[in-house]
Amino acid sequence: MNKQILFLGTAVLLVLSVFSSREAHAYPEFVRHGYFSCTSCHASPAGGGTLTPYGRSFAAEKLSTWIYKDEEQPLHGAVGVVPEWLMFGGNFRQIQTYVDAAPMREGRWIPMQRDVDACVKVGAAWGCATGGQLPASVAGGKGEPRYGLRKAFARLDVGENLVLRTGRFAPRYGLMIANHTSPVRRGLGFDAGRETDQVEATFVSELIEATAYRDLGRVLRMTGDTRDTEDQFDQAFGFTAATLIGTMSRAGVSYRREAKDVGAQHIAGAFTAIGVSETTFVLAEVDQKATVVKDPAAGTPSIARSAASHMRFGHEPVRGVVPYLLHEVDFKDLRDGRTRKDTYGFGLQWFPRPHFEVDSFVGHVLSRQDFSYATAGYLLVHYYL
Amino acid sequence: MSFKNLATSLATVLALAAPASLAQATDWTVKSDASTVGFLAVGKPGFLKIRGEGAKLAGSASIVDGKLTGTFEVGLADLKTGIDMRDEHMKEKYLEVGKHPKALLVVDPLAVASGEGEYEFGGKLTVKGVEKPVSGKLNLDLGSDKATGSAEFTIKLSDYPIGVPSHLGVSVAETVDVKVTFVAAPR
Repeated sequence: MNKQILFLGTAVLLVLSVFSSREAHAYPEFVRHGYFSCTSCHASPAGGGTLTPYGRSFAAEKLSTWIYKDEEQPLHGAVGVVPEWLMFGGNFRQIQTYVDAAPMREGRWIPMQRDVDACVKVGAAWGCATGGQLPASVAGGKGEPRYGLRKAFARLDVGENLVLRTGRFAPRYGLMIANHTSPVRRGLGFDAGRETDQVEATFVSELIEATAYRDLGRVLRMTGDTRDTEDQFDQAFGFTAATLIGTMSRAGVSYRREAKDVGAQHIAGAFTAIGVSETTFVLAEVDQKATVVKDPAAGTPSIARSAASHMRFGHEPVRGVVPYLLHEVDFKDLRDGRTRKDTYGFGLQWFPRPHFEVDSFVGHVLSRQDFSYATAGYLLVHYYL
Repeated sequence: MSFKNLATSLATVLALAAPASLAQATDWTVKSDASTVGFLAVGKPGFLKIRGEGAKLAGSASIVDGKLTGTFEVGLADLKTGIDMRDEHMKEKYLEVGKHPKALLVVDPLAVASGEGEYEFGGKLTVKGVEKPVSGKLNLDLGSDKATGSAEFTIKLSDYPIGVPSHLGVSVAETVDVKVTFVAAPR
């Protein structure tokens, strides 16, 4: 019974981690439309967050099943066309989850994200901020929701190829897929609420995009949450580099090193986004994390390794309707095969109109602990202001 | 057989075996419904790829003594890039298809042979009333009753009164790669 409860709890966490809280990151599969870099559509070079006027136009005409003129504008065009130097929006997400790990079943309704974002652009300089409901890990764990400023950065475009950025934002790593609770996001320490103070430089050309950054450390924002205490680090640096392949695909590598008082953590991996055609794509990312812990008594440091992967195959038969197949692996300890969990299933993402996204999923979570599995599903509704 | 008779016979055989295109003039007409014109441009910021397609190709070519010349028209009103508002700006504001509905390509005499071949061609391209030299690559499969192939060339937008096309903060880079695929039949 304890094992079943443990597995159920893990399965629920995994379901929530794979399918629930989704931070506003970019959709790397849009490389199939010729979008190699995120800077055409987003204020953040890493994607996600505030949309540029071009990004709204693209979302309307390339992603949405139905649109009316100017519907993609903020507030559905009710305030007319907003000047190009001012960009604002907001994300509101809620999810209904369901897990069936016999003999237990559970459904949960979770209001996940409530924030607003804005950017001002003057010449080559940008200032951006996002505020709203803070994720639980930042706000102080359980209890009443708290509100505040989650992200804020200044950006400077130097010529056509260089983008400099400094402020508080999520570090760039891998595909930056929308689901921040995926093993390749949360499993590696890139969960919601993990924004840190950074200095970042991104080089973009026709063939290459490379980002390097110095992370000034994650401030311990709350007390009493051991997870956040464990994730604290002094400083970090990292890079992500990708190359365009043909005109509709990209592949790259990422690396991040965190220095901690007890040792260091290294995360490295490779990723690809393949546009098979304008309507069909494959996303794949595989990463490994090595945590080195110094033990003065032992003399040699101990190294714990884990791995994570994400693979998605999608096809868009009708504009805005994207069914997909998903497989993810969360491998907590590479020395022990029983710590591996596979999640696989079928999803359907739909952008019916500008500002709206609906995502549903049903699948299985297979645990190698005892080779039992849970059936899980969710329905996510996302509204972008 | 005398030497003279042998030489005459040999010349006759060689004349009969010579490629037809070297021995006869042929007029060709482009089949518009089977031909395509598109382009690939780069948008900044982000170096995004903007693909245009759907422009109509019409025209004709002649091959005289193994030299090809031709005049081709590209109808610009049907060009599409996948974003309606961007297409509207492109055609109304930058290309002004209402006043200049077609681009014109005149190909300089080019030596060609029957069968498949790759060639470097030159010519003059007229856009919005301005004529500029242009050069590129031509892949041609020249048969007796059908010609197919493709042509690629690059143009500089600043050579023409187009300006710097820009849509909602994304501008097009100065050079645009044009690709044409064609099917032609003898007139």
